[in-house]
Amino acid sequence: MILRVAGVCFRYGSLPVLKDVTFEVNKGEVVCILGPNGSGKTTLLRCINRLLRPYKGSVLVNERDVISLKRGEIAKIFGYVPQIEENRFPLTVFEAVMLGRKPHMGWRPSKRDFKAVSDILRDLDLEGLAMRKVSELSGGEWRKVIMARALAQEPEVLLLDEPTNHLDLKHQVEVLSLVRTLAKKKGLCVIMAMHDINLALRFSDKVIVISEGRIVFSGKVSELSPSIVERVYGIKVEVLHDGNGIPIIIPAI
Amino acid sequence: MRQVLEEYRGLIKKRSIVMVALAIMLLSLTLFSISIGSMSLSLGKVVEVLTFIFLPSSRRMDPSLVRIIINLRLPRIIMAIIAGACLGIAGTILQVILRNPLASPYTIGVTSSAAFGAALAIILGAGIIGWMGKNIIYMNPYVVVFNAFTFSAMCSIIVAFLSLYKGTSPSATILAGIAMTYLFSAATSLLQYFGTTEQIAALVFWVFGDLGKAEWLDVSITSCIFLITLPLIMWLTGDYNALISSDEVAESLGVNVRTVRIISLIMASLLTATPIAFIGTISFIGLLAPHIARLVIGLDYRYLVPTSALIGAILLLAADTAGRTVLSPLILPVGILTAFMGVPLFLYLLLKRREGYL
Repeated sequence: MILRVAGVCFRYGSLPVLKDVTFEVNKGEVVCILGPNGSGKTTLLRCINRLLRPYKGSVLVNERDVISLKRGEIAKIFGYVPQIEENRFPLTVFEAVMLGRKPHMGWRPSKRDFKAVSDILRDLDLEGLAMRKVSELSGGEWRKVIMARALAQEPEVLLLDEPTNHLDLKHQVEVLSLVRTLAKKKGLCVIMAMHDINLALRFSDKVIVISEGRIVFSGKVSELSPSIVERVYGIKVEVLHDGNGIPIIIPAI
Repeated sequence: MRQVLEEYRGLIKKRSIVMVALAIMLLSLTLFSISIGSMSLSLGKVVEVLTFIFLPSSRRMDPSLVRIIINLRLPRIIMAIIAGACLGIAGTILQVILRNPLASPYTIGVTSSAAFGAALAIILGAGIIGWMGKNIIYMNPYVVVFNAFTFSAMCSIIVAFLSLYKGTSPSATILAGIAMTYLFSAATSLLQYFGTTEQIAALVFWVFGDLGKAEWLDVSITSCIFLITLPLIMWLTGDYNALISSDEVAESLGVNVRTVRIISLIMASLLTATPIAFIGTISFIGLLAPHIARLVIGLDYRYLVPTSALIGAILLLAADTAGRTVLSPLILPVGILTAFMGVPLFLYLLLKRREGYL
């Protein structure tokens, strides 16, 4: 399993958002995308699973162009967790996660669908909430339900837009550890757009930094230099080291 | 894990019980409704006559009684059930594809365009299927029916195209529908301005939905439309579930949002235009039935669609039964009753519910 984003260009109307974005993600790799607000992180994720259509370039999954696939097939490859999902509805958590089985399901859920959903609820420690209504959950619980829904798709690539938004420290670590474990155990590709640099670096294998729609850095976590961060975010930073080769970047005040 | 599945099965069981209870309620209401009228019958007698009609036997039955039931009461009552079910389903799918709890067949202009079609026939005498002359006494009802249907179909095609042009976003569809509603209401007013008093009276009478107009032919056509659209809508229920949240989420779950929206828009228009063309406009059922259904069954559209059909049928039949009894022997048109009964019920729901998504 290999995901290749090749020369993707995208614009909203005449406003260019992504310019010639190219990178590769291998099986089992966790890649985080960093970049300031408005740099094109969300747009990139949406171009990858064809919620948006790039006007140039292509996204290839195992050498198959995503453009040539049907929506249902795309949904079996990519699980997507949007940054915000405002609309809360009185569906039970179980049913909300079952929605993730949509691409695999016939008219009614099969034994396999039930098993997949209950396994995921167990993995994410959501069993106790299974019969609660989604509209009654806390922000953090709701994020986890959305994550569970994406996992229920049994995707090969997981696209996460700010997966730790609205989560407290414990839940942030919980969700990201889970993502990393799944990537290693099931060979998932994970691409996540993040704002929290240090959290991102701690749980990723590779970093991609984009600025104004262009990739300005792509490489291993340990290779990320403070000068790139300073240039992209426009503030002075200091780098500490945690002893495991993972840099800790803090603003210099 | 076992426990979670157990709990979910419990939920499904509860839903089945609710649906069976609603079906029993509809059945008893039907029998009660058959029993009342200028010739009041006991429930036992009703069952006796119905078995005589549907399972012919050698037993003798008062022919005038059989005729009253077959020709007067049954078409009206079955039409109430079918039309109520059609409007309930139409409202349910419009509310999900437009993601708006206020959406109803009114929202997409189907009702006002049907009224315009009827006005064209009644006031100008211009029918799509033939000219019917200016004398409303010789009016052929099917000219009006066909006009009403054609114009509401035309209106929904325009709305569908306008929304398709804007990428089928819910707000574009709603705005297009509102624009069409105003256009056709203005056109109807213009026609009324030139109409004679009798013609306007006939039009007003048409606009009050009245189940007394229903004949067996109307009932069969409406039932056909219902039976043709229902399987397709049931097939789409999984997509509706995915659409509850947002277009983006639905697409990422593999739903072809644009196609689902256009097909559903057409289905909803058919389900509304057909009964309305035969019996005139019926307000509130399409808005109210989905809300009550969501309250009793939850948000899974695989259960919600049939439930809102049952509730739509119960509401319309109950309103018509009330219309036949409250001022008996005078029969009030059901279209007026649905609004009077609908508003308090709707306000009650509005005040009682906490959840934003109605």
